[in-house]
Amino acid sequence: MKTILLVEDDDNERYLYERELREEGYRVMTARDGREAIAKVEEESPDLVVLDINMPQMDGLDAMGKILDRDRKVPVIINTAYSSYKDSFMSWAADAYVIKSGNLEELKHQIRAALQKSETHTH
Amino acid sequence: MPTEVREFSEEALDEETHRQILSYLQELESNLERQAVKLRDSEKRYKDLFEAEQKRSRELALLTEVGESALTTDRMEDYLESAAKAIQRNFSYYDVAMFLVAENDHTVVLRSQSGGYRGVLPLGYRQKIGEGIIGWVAEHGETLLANDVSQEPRFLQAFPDEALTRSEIAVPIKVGNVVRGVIDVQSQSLDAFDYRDVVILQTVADQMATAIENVRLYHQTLLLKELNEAVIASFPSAVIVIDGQRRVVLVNRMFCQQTGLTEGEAEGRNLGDVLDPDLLRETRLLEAVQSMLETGESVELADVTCLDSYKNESVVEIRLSFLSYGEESLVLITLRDVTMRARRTARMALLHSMGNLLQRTLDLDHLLFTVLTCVTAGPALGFNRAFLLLLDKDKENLQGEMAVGPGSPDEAGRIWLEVGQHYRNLEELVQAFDAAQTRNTPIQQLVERMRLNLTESREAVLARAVNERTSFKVQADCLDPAQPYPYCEVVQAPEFAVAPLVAGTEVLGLVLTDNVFSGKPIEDEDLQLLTILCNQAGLAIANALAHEEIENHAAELTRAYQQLKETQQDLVHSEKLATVGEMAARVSHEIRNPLATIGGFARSVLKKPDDVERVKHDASVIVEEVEELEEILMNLLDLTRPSQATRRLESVNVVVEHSCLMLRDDLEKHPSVTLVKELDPNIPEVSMDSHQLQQAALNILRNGIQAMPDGGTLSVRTHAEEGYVTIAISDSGVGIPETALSRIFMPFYTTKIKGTGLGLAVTKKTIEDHCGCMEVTSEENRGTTFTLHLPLIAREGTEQSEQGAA
Repeated sequence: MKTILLVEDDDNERYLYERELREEGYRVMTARDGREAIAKVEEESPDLVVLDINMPQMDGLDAMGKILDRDRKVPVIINTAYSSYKDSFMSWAADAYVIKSGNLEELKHQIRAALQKSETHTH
Repeated sequence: MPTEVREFSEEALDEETHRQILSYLQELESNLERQAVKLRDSEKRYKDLFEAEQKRSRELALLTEVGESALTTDRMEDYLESAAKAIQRNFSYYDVAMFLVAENDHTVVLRSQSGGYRGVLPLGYRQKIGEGIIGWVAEHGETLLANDVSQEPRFLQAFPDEALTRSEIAVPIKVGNVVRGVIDVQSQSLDAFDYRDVVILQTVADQMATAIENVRLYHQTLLLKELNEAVIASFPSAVIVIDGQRRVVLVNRMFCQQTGLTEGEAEGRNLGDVLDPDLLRETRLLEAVQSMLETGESVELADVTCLDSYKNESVVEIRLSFLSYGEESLVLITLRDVTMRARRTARMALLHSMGNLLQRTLDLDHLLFTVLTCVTAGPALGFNRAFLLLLDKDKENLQGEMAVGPGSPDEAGRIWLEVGQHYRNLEELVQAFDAAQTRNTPIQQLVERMRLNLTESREAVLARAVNERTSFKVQADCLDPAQPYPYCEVVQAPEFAVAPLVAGTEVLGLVLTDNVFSGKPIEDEDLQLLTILCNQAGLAIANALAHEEIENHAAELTRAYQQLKETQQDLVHSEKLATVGEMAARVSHEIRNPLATIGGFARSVLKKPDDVERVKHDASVIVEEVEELEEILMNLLDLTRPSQATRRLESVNVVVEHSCLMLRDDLEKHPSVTLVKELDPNIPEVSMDSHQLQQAALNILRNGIQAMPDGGTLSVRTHAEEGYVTIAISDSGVGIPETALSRIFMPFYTTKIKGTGLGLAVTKKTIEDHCGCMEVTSEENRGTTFTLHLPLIAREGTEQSEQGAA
């Protein structure tokens, strides 16, 4: 079972994504902000990180930088309401950039693709 | 000789007889020969005598002719010409040339020539003194005869033909020992001249010397005479010399001219009897003489104005000084008429004062009135009427702009009577400008009808005045009837003057003026003054026009500035909403978040509609998120909604109390937060929109609670300052980092986990709508204080209404 770290500041969204991803068959860890996310990553290495950006405590991009510093191989998917960060230099490091939507299929698809890709890399 | 004639036969002639006859015949023959020689001798003698006589008569004729021409011609050139001709003709000389010495540059100058070489050298040809035969003679003053010039080293060939000259004789024309000229005679024969030629030429030269000297003296005398006369004529003062008894000893011509007395009539009479009594009275001349005789000091009476014998105003300058003449002491009086000078000075003063007046105003109408007043005012140029026409912008048409003067002879009479009663100087007249009155006169209606197209009527006087930049004095009956004169009906005077208004290289218009009512002729001096005035006026008008343009520009600029200010206010307002891009990004983020959540839960409900608990939960989240969306929209509307001008005087304390009431729910959720109120009961009421202000205070209070997740004290204080009521809201929370302080009022800026970032932006807008201001101080982990200042008197109609309009 793959473990996904879900970093999301909005309580309702976090709840929704967590539930949806569990129903997809993933193990889901959650964090409310960048700082918490880094703490979680230190506890246990996730197979993939879903990250909102523009969170209050530490910006998602900052958090991503820190996470990638620890584990270069973990795939990161940016899941955000902002479209404007897509062109940001830092976003390039992410494996996918998903703009938040009521339809979670895109997010789920990107998660599958990223996990598949990282599996072929490790083997 | 035998008287008896006998017949001889050969045989009869005896030897003796034959011999006798032979010797007789021989004697006879030699006798005859002697007689023939004698005859030839006397014949030659007679011939010589005859020739001599003839030459003598030619000499006489020559001398007579030369002498006569000296008497009949007074021009040197004519005289030399006729002398050269006479010499050449009378003696059949090949060529005769007359040279005169030019003293200034040490040369002899050819002045006339007659004979073969005439015209080869130009008259005025110069030869240096000492050069050639002529130069030598001029230098030495002696006659030089060269009967074979090839043997004469002093011979100089001045031109090619002169190579043919074989003989030359040059005779000096001397006055005393000074050589004045040279007579030069040339021949193409050898040995052409003898002593008689020398004698006759010297005689002629003497005669010519006298004549030349006479002519010279004559000219000198003439010159001196002219000079004297000129000096005397131009001597500007009347001169009188009197003795101690004030009797006239001497007067000059000027005096005679001025008084009409002859020298004889004036001399011997008393000074008081020969001068005009008005002059004596005005100048107090007799008193001056008296004082001078008593004190022995010279007196000068400068510029005394008096009336002359024709009752014209004139100005005299008088000087008295002593003349010593033997034992007697005489007084020299010079009376100098300085009327012209005085008039010039007065003119300069007038032009100066007019120039000053023209510079005083930049208002075009007033300026034009000033120009026209200067043209018409009695103390200035004194024309009856004046019309001012200006060129339009395209320099195509002259258009009547303003006119000053009476509209009819009756009005003229009335005005002049008034002027006579209340004398007003030029300045007062100019200051009497009344724009409305000036625009309403009959003459103004005349001028406004005046219009002339410059291209169509190039030859019209007005067009010429503009095109040629020249003033004209025009006799009305000389106007070309073929040319259009739209001003003919206006100008009915027998003459009028026109002068262009010139500013630098530009002509702005012209002034047309006449003496239609008085009929006074326009003098050259009047035209001159008008021209100068119009030059000054042109510059002043150009200034006024430039000023007007600048004023128009200034008005435009003011309008532009106003617009800019409005735009800027719009911009400032937009700034409050942050930059458009950032705003849009934030709005989309703020809205997309709840939307995505709503969508997600809604799909989740659809996916498992039978799981009641799950559906309930999801639906409640959807409701919550929709509420958040609504709140965002509300705040957005608050921020962009124009502030309402409806204000009432209300108590700030009441507003604060209401906000605190509304905070009750929040306080219940955060029981560790304590609210402290310190409301000054004596603060005055403030004109406000209480609902807006209540919301503003509530926003800050809520911020305060949210800044204290671990609890603390939230305090609200109100008090009055000078002209302001202040609300201070403090929390003891986490504080705001200094770097974030400047951004907290930007819309959608937030540090909160939950929050739209609109609260402070809305609050700030509300306070500014009330013409107040807002400050924030913060210290991390110690807390934050927001201070709202509300003015007691809202500045009605200024920022408030502008903001309302924006």
